[in-house]
Amino acid sequence: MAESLSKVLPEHILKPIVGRLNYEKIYEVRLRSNRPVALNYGGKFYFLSETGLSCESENAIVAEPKLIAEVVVRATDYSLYAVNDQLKAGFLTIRGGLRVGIAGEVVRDGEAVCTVKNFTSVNIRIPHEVKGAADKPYKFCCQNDLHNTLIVSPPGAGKTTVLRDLARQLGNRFPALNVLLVDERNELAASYLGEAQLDVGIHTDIIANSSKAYAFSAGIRALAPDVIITDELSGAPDAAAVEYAAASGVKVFASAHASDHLDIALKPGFESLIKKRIFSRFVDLSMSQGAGTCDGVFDADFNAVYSV
Amino acid sequence: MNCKLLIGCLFSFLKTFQRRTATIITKFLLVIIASAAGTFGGMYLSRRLKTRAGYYAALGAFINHISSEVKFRKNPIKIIVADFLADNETPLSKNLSEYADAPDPISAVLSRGVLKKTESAEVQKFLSSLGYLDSDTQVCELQLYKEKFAALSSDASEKSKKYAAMYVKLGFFLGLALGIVVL
Repeated sequence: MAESLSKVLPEHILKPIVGRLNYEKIYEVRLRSNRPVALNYGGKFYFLSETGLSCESENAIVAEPKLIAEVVVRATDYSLYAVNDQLKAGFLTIRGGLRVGIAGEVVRDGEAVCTVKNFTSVNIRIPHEVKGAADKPYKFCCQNDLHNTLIVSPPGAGKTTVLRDLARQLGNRFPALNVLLVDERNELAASYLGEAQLDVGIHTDIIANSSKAYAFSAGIRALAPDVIITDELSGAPDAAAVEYAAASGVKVFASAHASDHLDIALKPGFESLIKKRIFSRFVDLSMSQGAGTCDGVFDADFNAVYSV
Repeated sequence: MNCKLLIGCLFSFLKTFQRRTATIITKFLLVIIASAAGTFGGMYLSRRLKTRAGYYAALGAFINHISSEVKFRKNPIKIIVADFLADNETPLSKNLSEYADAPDPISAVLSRGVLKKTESAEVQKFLSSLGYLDSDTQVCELQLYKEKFAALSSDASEKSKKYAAMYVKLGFFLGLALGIVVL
């Protein structure tokens, strides 16, 4: 992954990162036009200077406007035309699983987005596989019986990392389970040119960059999965896709943004899922002891199966 | 005594005849060499014309190939170039290999080959522009370059047809004339 970062970042920004920082603690590299380069290091934001991290913006390396464009073009392997769909979605996934979020000027044709140009900032998110991150959820949601499970947490608390590890554990299980990974934003497996950049299990099929409605429907028909894993349910269409899968006898493991399982019922589109008791397990995650901390596992009646 | 005189005259005649023959043969060889040199010179110029025409024909084919890839398959540029190189051995291949081997398009240094300095700069500019634009703009840019290079291709092709054979003949006759003049 450090090699992937070196293909994207220019030398003067890469040097302090590679020379002075622990790569495993870097979660994000943010470049904003004419502003200091910032890093999410160990869960906190710092500025990047020539000597490493700094709390002062005065010492920081500044990202020039043409640097932002250069980083985007390098991320596309000098093939910007090839990633127009990803540009419209606002992010690129590159070799190594790095996810480059892009901000810029949107070019529209009426209501439709044609492309993005004049890039103003990029956010390079670096995924870190944490094998074992899903041990507790696996124990209480999968070990004996498979339960439709919803992982709930505020943003940045490790839902994606836990789901990824869950996919790996389920996909490597014996006797084998057919796992379908619906990777709408290409964050779970980080597929690049048809190859998953992260370990999501041997018996795992991946549908990337697709809406959940299409992926669930086509995937269940064509791939006959035992389990579907997907990230970030939001709204009625996603909820309908989950109901469709559950009605088809497929177990679903998904995640959603909320402070905890009690708030889920308040989210639009989730009332039906809660009412029909589609999910028989809720897993609360937090940052209390680092990202991915499992605060509790609850059943369909919100009774604790496991709590801290 | 008459025999001695006769033999002496004969010997003298043979000596003179040998010298003259050697001189004639030498001059003849010089003319042949000059003609051959002129012909090779003409063939070299003729080949340059044909190579230049072939270069621009290949460039046109390459632009068509890229346009199709950009519109439909949207493969990365290095894969497109590698595919084209694998399928086509042309006068353009060297420049494309230099471009593909460079760490980034802008730093690629292309050899001039049979192109003029301004033409080579234009090809360099074209290759450097690949991959920096979104798909619609890239397609438009490719179309512009296609038209630009089509004019150069047409000119190179016409010159090749007109002058290629002429240069060979001219080279031969110039060489022959030079040989005769030197004599």
